[in-house]
Amino acid sequence: MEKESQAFEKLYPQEFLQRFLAKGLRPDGRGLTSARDVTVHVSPISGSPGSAIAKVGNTTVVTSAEVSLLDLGGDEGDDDEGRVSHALDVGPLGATHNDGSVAKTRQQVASVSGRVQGVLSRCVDLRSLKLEGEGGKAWLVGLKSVCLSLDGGLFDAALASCVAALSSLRLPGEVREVVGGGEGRESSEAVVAMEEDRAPSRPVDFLLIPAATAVSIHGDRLLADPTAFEEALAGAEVSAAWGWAPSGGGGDPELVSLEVRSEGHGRATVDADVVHRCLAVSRRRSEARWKGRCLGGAERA
Amino acid sequence: MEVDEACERAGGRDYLELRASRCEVGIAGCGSGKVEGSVRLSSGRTAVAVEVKGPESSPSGAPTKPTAGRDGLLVTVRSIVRPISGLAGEREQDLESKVVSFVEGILDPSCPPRTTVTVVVQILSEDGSLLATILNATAVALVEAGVPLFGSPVAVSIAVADSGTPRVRLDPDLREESTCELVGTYAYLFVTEGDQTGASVVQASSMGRSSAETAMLALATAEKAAEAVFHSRRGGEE
Repeated sequence: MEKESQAFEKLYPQEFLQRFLAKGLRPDGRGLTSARDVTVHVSPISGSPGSAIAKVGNTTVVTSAEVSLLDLGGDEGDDDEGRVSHALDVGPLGATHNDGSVAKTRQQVASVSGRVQGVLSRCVDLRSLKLEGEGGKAWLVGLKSVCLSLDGGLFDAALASCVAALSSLRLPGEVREVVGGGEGRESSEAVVAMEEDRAPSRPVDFLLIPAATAVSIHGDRLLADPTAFEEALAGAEVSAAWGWAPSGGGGDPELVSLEVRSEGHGRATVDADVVHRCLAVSRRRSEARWKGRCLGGAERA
Repeated sequence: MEVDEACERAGGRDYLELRASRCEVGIAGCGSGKVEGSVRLSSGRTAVAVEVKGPESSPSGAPTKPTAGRDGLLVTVRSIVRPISGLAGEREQDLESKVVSFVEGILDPSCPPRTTVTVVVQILSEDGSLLATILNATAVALVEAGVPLFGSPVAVSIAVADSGTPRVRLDPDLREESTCELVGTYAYLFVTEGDQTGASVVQASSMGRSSAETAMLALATAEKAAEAVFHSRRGGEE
């Protein structure tokens, strides 16, 4: 019986999925608009200044954060701020197909990575990354994510692991510049001092805490947080990233990023009404994720 | 939509006015036989050149899309985006991915299966609304190449400023994009059946902090603008 159902799934995936959807269920037993839980482990990599692993179902993304100095160029303008950069690597570990082909192309991965970087650049207080004093320097926070396994929801998991990695990151309190060379030329590198008895390290300031949930559209049904199987069969997908104020206390979240993709040609007609419904579902699920996630992991050194 | 007394946009443009656009078709020349559709489109100071090849037979061993066996699109779409200078970086790869999903969303099912359509984009100059210009040029190039499309695609670019009352601007230039909070590109497909014309979203991507209502407002404005462009095109053809 088990083999027959697996064969049916391989040969007629659309019908296989429709049988579940007709009953208001999905192949993994979830309801149509329920999302998988996000599990986050903070600081699994002891050698890295900040790191986190986020698991959304079978999708696992590990992110490591590091800081380096950015030269702002000397002229102190009003919008001198630091930067957050992100790189994502899916590679062979993220393959879910028997023929070994990678589930996401290089371009799709670049698209996800660019989106994460855009969201984080707007959610992190970049002005707080600017260093006090002369010299016009700011922190460049570099995030590198690796996807260890992929089962849909790559953007959601990557964003969650980056936020957790940033929350565990500590910016060094003091920077000393080393004057190098016999000629007394100022070295362009700066030595970062992390001595315990000097200025204490500070965490990264967030303007908004982001969380995202993707919603895929199958006919006239909305599926929240689709797995790779459901993603491949979807007629369209709406992915929204929301941001909540760090002080908590409820209130409406802000929409930070929105992506709508449709397969077109009659398989899915996406209009403003559908997008509105998807946004409502995405917001509810993202709120549950944001509240459920323990940002108190920031207290762990 | 009321018009502000002091128009702050460059060139005295209205808030909901597109920049002047120029379209040249067939620039690559058919003699070489390699490029089937080529167009150079400029919107204001943003200019792109797009060449389309296909549908041509996929080389054996080309990666077939892992579609879990569905009977949807069997045409592979490849895209290359070249920057003005230097090597293509992550931003160009992101644009490639958007072009691929745009083309996949507008291809007609009558397109021969197991073929490849290649879209090559060369960015000539940039002054905001780059993705919308690329998508519009791609659509024209596909029509020029004779690739069957399901309808008429139109892409527009919207920026919403963050000062109190959301000020929605159509077709922002680079300065407006960097100062406005929400910037988005929206691509619509207009399908005419008899007398009815239906619009559906092919692709929408927006980045920037805003309330959900503002985002829906931008979406609605984009749809109206795309509809206006579509009707003006149709009016121009008759």
